[in-house]
Amino acid sequence: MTTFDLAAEGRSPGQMALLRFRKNRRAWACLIALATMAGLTILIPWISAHDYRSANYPSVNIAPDGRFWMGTDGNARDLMVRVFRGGRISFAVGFLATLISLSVGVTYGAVSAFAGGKTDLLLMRIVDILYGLPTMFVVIIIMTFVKGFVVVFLVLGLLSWLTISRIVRGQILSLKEREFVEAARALGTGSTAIIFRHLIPNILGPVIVYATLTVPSVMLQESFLSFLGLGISEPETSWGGLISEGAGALFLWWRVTFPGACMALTLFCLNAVGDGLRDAFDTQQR
Amino acid sequence: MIPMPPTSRALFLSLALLLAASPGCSKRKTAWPGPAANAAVEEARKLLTEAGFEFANDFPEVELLYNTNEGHKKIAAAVQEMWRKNLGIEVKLRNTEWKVYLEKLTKLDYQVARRGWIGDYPDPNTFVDLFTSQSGNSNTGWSNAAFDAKVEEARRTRDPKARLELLGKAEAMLMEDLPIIPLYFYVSQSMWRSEVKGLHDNHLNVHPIKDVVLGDGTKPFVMNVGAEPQTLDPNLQRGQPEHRINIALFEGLTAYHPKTLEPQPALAERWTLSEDSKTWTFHLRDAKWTNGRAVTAHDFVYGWRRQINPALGSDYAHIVMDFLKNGKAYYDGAAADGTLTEFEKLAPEKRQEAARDLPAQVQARHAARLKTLHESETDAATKASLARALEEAPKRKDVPVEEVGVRAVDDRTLGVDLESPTPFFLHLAAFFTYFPIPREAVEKHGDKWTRPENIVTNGPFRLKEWVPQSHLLAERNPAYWDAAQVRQQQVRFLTQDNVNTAYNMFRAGQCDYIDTVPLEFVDKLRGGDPDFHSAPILNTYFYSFNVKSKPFDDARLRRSLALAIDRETLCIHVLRGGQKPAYSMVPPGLEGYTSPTFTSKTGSP
Amino acid sequence: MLVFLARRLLAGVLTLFAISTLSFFIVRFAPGSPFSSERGTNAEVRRNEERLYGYDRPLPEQYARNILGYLCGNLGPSTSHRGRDVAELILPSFGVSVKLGAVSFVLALASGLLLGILASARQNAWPDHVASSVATLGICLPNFLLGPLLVMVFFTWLGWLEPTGWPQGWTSWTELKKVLLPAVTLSCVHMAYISRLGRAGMLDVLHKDFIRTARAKGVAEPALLLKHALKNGITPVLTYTGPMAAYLVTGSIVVEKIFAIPGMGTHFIASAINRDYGIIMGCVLVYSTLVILFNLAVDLLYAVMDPRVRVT
Repeated sequence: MTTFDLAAEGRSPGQMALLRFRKNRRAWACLIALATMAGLTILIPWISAHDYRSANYPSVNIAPDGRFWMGTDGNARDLMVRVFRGGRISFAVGFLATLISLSVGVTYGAVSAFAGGKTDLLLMRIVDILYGLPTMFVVIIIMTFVKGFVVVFLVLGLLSWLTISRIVRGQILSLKEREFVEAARALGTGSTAIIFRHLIPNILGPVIVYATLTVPSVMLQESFLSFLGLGISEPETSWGGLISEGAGALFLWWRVTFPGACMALTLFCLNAVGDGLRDAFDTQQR
Repeated sequence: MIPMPPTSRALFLSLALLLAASPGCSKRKTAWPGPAANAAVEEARKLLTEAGFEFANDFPEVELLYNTNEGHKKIAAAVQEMWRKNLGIEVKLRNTEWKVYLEKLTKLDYQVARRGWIGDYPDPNTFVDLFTSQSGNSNTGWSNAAFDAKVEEARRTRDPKARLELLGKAEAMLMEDLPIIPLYFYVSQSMWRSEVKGLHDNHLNVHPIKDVVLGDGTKPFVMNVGAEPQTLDPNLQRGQPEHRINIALFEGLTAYHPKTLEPQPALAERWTLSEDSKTWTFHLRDAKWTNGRAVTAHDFVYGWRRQINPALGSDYAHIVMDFLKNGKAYYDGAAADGTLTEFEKLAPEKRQEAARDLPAQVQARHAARLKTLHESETDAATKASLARALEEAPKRKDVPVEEVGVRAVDDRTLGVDLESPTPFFLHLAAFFTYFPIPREAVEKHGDKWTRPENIVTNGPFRLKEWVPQSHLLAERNPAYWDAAQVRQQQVRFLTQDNVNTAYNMFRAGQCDYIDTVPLEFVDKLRGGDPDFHSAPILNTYFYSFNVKSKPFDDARLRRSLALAIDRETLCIHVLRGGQKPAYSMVPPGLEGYTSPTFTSKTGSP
Repeated sequence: MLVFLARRLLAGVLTLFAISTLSFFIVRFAPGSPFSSERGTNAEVRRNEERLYGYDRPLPEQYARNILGYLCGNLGPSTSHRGRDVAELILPSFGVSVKLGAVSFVLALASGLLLGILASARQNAWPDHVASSVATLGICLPNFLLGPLLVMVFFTWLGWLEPTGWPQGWTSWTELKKVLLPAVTLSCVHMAYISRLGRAGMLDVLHKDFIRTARAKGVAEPALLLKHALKNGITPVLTYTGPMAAYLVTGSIVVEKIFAIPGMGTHFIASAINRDYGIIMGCVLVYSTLVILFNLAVDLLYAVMDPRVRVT
């Protein structure tokens, strides 16, 4: 389908945004870079001469050289394969958990603000309560009941939606008194429709930005979960895990630099894409 | 919906198909992962086949448990890879935080677990009697009557050589059955400044502070003890951090020589041993508590009795009650006293658990009370346990605390009667469980007696300040009998448990001694840092099997797994700190004792 | 307004009650006991220790005692510091955490807003890209990495600052500079968040009609940014400051560990690992009170900043 076809059909706001996004060369390039990074996490472990779990004694903690392009770790394993293999986990965790966090947080915050009054008070107090609970114990308890890798996404998603819900609520509180909402209501539009068609699209800016911030935060929180024994375990790894291992011995610079750089690059692109999306959905910007 | 050109749609579809079809369906293996690296692996494969897992086929999913720690993780990953490469077995690693780990270990809710054991005193017994059926620390589910009998026989034997031989035979049985597989023997990895005099590497990694001096002794000596002490009560303390502090604050009958660990006369000026090697008489010197009162034999009697009073709840009670005459019998009887007093108030499941222990504990005086409880009990399991206890009670005579083998002959003479000859008793006498305790302070302040404003001590230093989660400050005790020998004015104990932070503090000169260094720094430091000190210690790192869980109930499988670990590689390449490969439970360096190994060392390439 | 405050405070008390109830049971149901130890204690010893702290009583009874204790201002005894009360342990450390949090708060807000405003004023030009890169870096550097990095640079390499410690007074520079590394480490991520949220919020406003009108009327650009746009554009930032303030005071656990700061986070993590129920609950209560108060403050600020928002 070409842009020409779109124009002929008449443009919905979403399609318009897509068009604007495509014109943003920086964001577009970053999107491609992101996809490339994702592709590499699949490709590199596959084509590399090294295996992510095989120990190459005596090459322990070797600096990058012709054989090990990113050096080796304390168990004599090739770091490059581990970085990219770890990227799979980090990508999956980052995006899925953010998705969960966003869908719960945005809906919750929007409903709370829109409903207002007692419902708002109650819903926000529930958020306060959840903020207050000792996370570590919540995780330990969840672990005793549910097993498996899916728990990681759930736990991370469910732990990180609280702040976004407050931000969304704050935005909507000021939006819902605006004229266009009054107008929609006067026209007999239902609450659900107002929330999802009129209010949420108008706060996409902060939401997208917050989403791009949530991705790295959950990627790093995942390494906290593995402290408790939840999440991935050796020989699997993740960027968060590699970085926290590397942080303990900074003089072995490659052990923190490479996973750190991959993560920084990913986030940099993510931010650019986020900004691009934000600009694209900004209805007042022509 | 984002519009998608047909080509990318096709690509997307095929990718999805590819992912869906990717491996997951397991195939039966028809070969080992590769040629056997050495004879040990060859044998390991043979044993695995004998145990019914040819080419590791049908090997169930098993988990290796360890408490969260970078070091344990590294070792576990290395072992996991060795088992995969040598045997084709895929083991899952599972880490949990400390308390969950302990819970799983003690409840035998694990399959394979990482563990370590540091000797309490320099004798093989501390490593071997760990695995007897009545030991509270075996945590393997393993029980072997012949082994128990050998350990007991060694206990009763007077001749030192014969005793060690018996212990050797017991350890051989352990290495035959392998409920645990040793991996390596630890080394200490501490750092202290060259200006610090009086610190020495030794087998137990304990450092008496008495002789330590930093420069001319006027600047405080700052020592990181590695964790916040839970209490300074010698009867209740639990670990290395408390030990490091209390060795400065208290003193027992004997004290360790800082280098050789040989027991030196401390509060006891001299001592005699009876003909049958079971009765010691200690003559105390003129020494004072920090409150000015003289230290007497009664303080020891009070302390030792308090140590083995089950109502106090000490983790280390066994270090006293196992050796003193009637110690165990008194402890059991007193435990039953406690249980029976509280019995009716206990929750049903706790009551069942308590009743299970009763038959082994009760004594004659409990019979009447057991009878009433038995009559009114409704739960069948509890009732049965009570009935058995009722049967046992009259058979055992009462052992009141006065019959325990410690008595004050007079103020300055302490008599000690032992259950059996214990050649290492003078070592024990230096251990914190055998310290004297100031009765008046304990009785006046109860739980709060160890606070700086209340504590009464008798060691070379006295406690001045204690800021929880930060530090403790001790100063030279002028009332100490040997105060002339103490040249250091102040000692500051840090309780920093973050290894990297402690290391930075050492580097910044904020701290003069650290007990461990960050994981990957070892190569750098061993390369020639004059402040780095490393020496073998009596500490074994091992993997323990839950022998009650399948498939680890099969000794052949356990041996196979033990043989498939290349300990040389582990020590040289993974640990790199000079640790020694372990083929036995008891570490080397104990005089007169040679450990039997589970393999003829073919495990080394 | 007063009605609003009263109602929210009442709700706050109820929230606290709910938090303490839930936390009590969550903490108690987690595996592990304060008395489990490496040495195999026998069951009798364990029961005796439990009796000492009343942990052998039925849970509902313990819970009732607990809540009654809190109402009387008694946080109970600590199991991991025998002979000490929870209150005497955590209250001094709370002060330390608050000071560290406050310094970090100012740092994060000031630098974050500056970056955000710069970025929005020159959208898609180099200031925007620089701000965006700085923010990305800030987010990618989790404090368990940033802390050691700063120590490596400022202590190991340059030798300017000490790797650990906490100011004993706030007047001399030698003491004061000890707060620098921990505060920068702690505030870094939040600086990044604020700059991102600030940029987005400002851009939303900058494209609004009233700004265009103002610009057309010839209002100078700095005044436009700071006077007109900022006030309306920082709502997302404002919302974030509530949770952020709470994070900064409660979330300094890692930073306190790295820099050996005797704050409340140290107590919290140690008590969680030791299952010291008294301290865990004490920390949860203090933290929750903070979160509730901060959120209340933010909601009040909304009303002040945006008259259209009705406080209910």
